[in-house]
Amino acid sequence: MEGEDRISSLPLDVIVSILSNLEVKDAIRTSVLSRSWRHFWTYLPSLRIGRFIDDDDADFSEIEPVASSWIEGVHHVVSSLRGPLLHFALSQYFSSASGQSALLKSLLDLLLHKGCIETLQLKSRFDRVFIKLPSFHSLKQLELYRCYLVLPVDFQGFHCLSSLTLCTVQISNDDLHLLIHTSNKLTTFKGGFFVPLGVQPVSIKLNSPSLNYLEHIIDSSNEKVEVVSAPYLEQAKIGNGALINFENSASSNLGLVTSTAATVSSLYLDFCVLESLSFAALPLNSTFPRVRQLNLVLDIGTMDKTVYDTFIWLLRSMLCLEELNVELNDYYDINEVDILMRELLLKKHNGLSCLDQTLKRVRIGTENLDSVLTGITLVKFFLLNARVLELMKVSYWTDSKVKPSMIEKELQKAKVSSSKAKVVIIPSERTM
Amino acid sequence: MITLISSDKRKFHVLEEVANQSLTIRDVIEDRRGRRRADRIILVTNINSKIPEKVIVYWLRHFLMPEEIAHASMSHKKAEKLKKWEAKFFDTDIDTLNDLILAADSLDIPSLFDGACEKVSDILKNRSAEEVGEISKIENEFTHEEEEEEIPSENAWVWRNEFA
Repeated sequence: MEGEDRISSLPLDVIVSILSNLEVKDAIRTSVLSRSWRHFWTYLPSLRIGRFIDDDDADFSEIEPVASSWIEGVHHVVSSLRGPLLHFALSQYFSSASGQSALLKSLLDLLLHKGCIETLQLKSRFDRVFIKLPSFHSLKQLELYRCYLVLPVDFQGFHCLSSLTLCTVQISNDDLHLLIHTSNKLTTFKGGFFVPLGVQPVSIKLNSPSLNYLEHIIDSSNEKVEVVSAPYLEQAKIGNGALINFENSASSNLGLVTSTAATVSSLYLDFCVLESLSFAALPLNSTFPRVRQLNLVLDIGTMDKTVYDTFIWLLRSMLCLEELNVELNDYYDINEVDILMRELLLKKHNGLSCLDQTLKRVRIGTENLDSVLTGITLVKFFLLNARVLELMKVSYWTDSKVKPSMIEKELQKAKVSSSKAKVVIIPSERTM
Repeated sequence: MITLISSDKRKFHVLEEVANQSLTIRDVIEDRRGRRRADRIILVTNINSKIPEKVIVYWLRHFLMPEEIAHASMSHKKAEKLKKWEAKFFDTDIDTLNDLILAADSLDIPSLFDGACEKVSDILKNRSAEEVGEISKIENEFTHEEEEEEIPSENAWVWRNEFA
């Protein structure tokens, strides 16, 4: 067996799966190994070119100069492929100046010509790039970051598209409607940081018969999101990117939340959404009859009466809530909860049916638990009021100064309503 | 109990539930269900006895923590432990990996197949063509001119470091 080349005798599809684990350039470099290896890489079903780690906060002065011909190189690679290309992802520094839009267009046309692309991800890492999207008939997943998007005049729709992600995209409202409306198999929509085109506010109307998952980050006050009809929507995640108040858009946010109420079983809301919710008159009678899991981002340090009211309203309207995750923000270095808030929270609440009957698991996570009090007030609230609670998880970052014993000591005095309640304190490691 | 017989005639007895991790074996058992005991013997040809041993070790390790693997529900500690164990398991010579890939391919064990392919990719990663040739014993029969000029110029950018 010594000295025998055994990799080359593996079936082609096995060699291709080995190559798929390599970076594209390393896979292409195997073409010099031997005559038979010269073309193995051309059967790669998926190409990921560029850097995909999320380094949006990176200092732009660190950008390495990239030869302007790189896109022609990619073009050559794609045209050399002999097998079907199913997945294509490109993350690079586009610059609007050097005519790269035209080159990108011819690259997209080439992909269209190959005819079988299922996943397309384009990410400009610096300047927004102009993309004119041809009608890929087999496209199932589309992700675009930082671009001006234009649909062709004869756009026929992506009839297989199931997942659409648009982030920091500038697109006309008409094109956006056309894109969403023609994608009649859409199950996942993730959007955020839309850039208005001209003076018109961005308007997103989701009228989708198959939509199952919705994630939206509202960034500017002149952005209107409306879920017109989505009978199969189960998960909704609504947040605010910039962490600022935006009172003007309160009503549109509310429309989003309440129109999703009937079918959603898992809901994520962040603090700013709660804040803006409370500015509008709360629809006191509406309920979320199917929500079993709620994820909240709370800023308990700056929580005021209106946010508190929204919080209680949410608990009241979620009739069969079983699991609650609360992530506490501590952006403002406020160590203590407002005295009034503490009093309100540490009171016994009656008539909230999820607290009485269904809520079994609560997790309170904090980014910065140096101020024990902020988090602990909420822990006490649930221990006191959730009558069928089984598990209360408190997690915090290990690099904060808090010791589990401090939390335990603080909780010894707490009143617990449920006989089955178990409190677990988990230090988690910072993953960022 | 199921009996696997390798190409060098060694027998391996495995619990059905464990062997079920191979989709091929699962299908075969399903087809032969209710038949005689002799039908619960499966010949694993073109695989020498070293490999079924390794495959069964892999099965047993994964059998001990079923389902959880795919889910995030597995605790952090457990996941770390399994990761360490897999790293050790796959830390072997390229010939064995080759056999494991072939076995995983024919027995249809997706996680083993992916793990072994990944390990081979890791071995080849960040190495020069000469090194890769040496490790994998791929014979380079290109002429000097082809090697120096023609092939690198086909995709010039992969040889300059234009892509980070």
